[in-house]
Amino acid sequence: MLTVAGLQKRYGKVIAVDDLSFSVEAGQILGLVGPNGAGKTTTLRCSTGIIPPTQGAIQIGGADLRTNPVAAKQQYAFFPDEPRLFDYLTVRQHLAFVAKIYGVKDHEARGLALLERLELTDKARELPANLSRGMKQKLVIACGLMHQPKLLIFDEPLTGLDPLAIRRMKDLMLELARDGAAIVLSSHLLHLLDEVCSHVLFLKQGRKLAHGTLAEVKAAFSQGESDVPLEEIFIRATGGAEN
Amino acid sequence: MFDAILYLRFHSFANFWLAQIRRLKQPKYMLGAVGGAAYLWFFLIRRGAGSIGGFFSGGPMTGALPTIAAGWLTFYLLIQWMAIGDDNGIPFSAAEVAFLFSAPWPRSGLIAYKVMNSIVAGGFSGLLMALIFSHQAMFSRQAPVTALAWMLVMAVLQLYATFASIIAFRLQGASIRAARRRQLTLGAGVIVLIGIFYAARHSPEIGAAKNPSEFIVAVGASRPLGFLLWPARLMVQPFFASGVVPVLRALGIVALILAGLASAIIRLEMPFEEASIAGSEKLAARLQRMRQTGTIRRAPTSERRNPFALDRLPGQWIALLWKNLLASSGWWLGIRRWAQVAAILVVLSIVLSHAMGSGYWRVAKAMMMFGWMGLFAGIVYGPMLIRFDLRQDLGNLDILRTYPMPGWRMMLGLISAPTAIITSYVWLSLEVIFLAMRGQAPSLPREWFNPAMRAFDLGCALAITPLLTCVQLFIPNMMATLFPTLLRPAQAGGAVGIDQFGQRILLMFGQLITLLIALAPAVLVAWLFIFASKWILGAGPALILGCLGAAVVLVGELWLGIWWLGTRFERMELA
Repeated sequence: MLTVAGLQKRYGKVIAVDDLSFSVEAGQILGLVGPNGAGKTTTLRCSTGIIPPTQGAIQIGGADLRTNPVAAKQQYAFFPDEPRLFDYLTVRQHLAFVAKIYGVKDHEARGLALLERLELTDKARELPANLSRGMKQKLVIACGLMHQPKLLIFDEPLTGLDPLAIRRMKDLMLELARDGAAIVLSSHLLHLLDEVCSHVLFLKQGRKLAHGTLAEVKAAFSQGESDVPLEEIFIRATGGAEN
Repeated sequence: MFDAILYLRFHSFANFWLAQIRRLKQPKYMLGAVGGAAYLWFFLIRRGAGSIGGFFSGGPMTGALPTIAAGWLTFYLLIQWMAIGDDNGIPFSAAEVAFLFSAPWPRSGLIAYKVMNSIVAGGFSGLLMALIFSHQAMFSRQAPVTALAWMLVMAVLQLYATFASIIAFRLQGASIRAARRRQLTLGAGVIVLIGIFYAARHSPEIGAAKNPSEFIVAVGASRPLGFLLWPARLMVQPFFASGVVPVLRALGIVALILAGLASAIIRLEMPFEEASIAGSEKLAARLQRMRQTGTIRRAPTSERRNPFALDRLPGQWIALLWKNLLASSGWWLGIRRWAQVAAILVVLSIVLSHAMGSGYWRVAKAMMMFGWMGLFAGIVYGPMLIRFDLRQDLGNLDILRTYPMPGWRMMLGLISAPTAIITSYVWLSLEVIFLAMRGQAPSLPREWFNPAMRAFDLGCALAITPLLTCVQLFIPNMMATLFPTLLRPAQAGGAVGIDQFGQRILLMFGQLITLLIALAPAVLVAWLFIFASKWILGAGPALILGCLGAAVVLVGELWLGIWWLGTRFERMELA
């Protein structure tokens, strides 16, 4: 569903991401892990066409992001770390707006179902200023799910959520993956990734340290020990240094 | 304690200027600095050194000016009591709360710190005000006195704001909240106004005034206004005193007021911490929102009416038009309300022309003037004021970039909302102008504005307005695409400094030149079409042909421009 080949992103002389290749298939959940400044957000932003890569090719559902960005963008939903909404659109107006952008036909019924599922029905006429952070996050998710994307990309999705909301978010991701969606997830919460991810990709200083199924990556760094948590694996893989 | 404060202030100040100077290594900032300095030199300083004076030029002034200055200052001081809200206390930034509140300082030390900050801030703003409003005096031997006067007055105003804020907070503690305080201030203001009117009616000096200047002086000297203006008169006295001793005396009095205010604030020593922490949190949240969204507007809290039914119109870009019209509901009248206003104007014009007969031209003249003012404001200032396009959405660029639509369609959708809003106002102005023409026939060229031609004139003007507006909007949106950081307000993380100021000035000139370049071919084509066809078809059809030619050129330019802007938008480096 998502194929990244030879991705490089430079900011002037600084190379934020270098020669990065990976792919995510339907039903997989890929956890993107790395210290601060490792290039996670840059990778996600390049993978979604928000910022142009310096080099490399990105394909989403077979559509090349550079040559056919419209078809590529039609297939994914991106969820940034901060729930950013339009100040003047209410909850239901956000859904109507997104439906128009993505050409969703039955948007009213679908919007209602999403609001119901995300427990936002009673907030349908509220503006973002009247929503809590968790509710804003839910609204962003509802907007993202409106066009039934095949690829979902989450950048630090659990920032600022309460424990119950974190639990629901995890369940939602697992459910979406079971339904055949490919998910890319960047987070510092390694226990979360341990619970939900099928695959992991370790990044350090913009380069790939390890990539594979969770079991494969754990096996590579567990030094023969069993049941080593992902947090410990990450520390061993990165050498315990921040950068 | 004071050494720490001095250290903080000195290094913050020095680092700010070092950063400003260091970035001049980049050509774009150096060019901006040169442009900004040139603008200040040619339009402010050089002009000031010449024959044109500013306010408070440092010399002795007679007449009404001292009274007007004292009146304005009194009004400003009184309005503070209306402006301050609840829970204000003494404002501290989040960093000040984090570092200074836990510092081993007495409460009075923190207050003294704020007092010192206010005086320094007032001093700097005073210097700036002196350069702007007293530039003539600032380039003469009166410069030290003028600068000192401005600095002292501005420092007093800063401290006064802090003092008022503290007193308001104390009143709140005594159950007199902002609403009640505003009522009391307003009531006092009304009583004073009644007193002034009463005194004016019975004052022989006011009755004997021969001109407006004498009238103002007499009103200012009358009781009770004379008493009310007295403190402000002391404050503005340095600007109008002449001679060494009177100037020093006047400056000394303002310095004493400053010292008195500072001492009073420190002695009040109120428990401000809780309110200040709450205030700093609110401020931090607002700043964060500004940095994220790039706007200094507050987020709305009540739902707005849909500008139109989104489902009924085809096209993805319509969603962006709909979204931005929704955001601009204060400006966007809506189709129904616009039609009502247009109809009221027609009815009013018909009623007036019937009622006034041949005297209608008197009203028509005023209508014509307002119509042209509206037209000018809409075309020239509209694109600067109505920013519900890419400029508004700069904070949401990463969201917009994920939408599955080509860049040109995105730009079309973003520009369409301000185009619709400005066009609606310009159309109303055109309507007023054409309604006024009924009484204006003698003063207009008959060939083009005779009654038969007016329908053609109006039709062509209406048709060309949206295109002209769109061309105007293209330029600020191009700036937003090419130089997004220039459009961010300083409070929202945008840069500040003379280089940034110069960049804006240069861009404004660039905008004007681009507009002229864009309009020249359209005007030329229109003129050629009209010139070539007028003799065969007559003035009316020739005008339509000319308008069509101009419209085709403008549509072509816009199509190219929006397509190009779209490609730039797609390649825009958000990082």
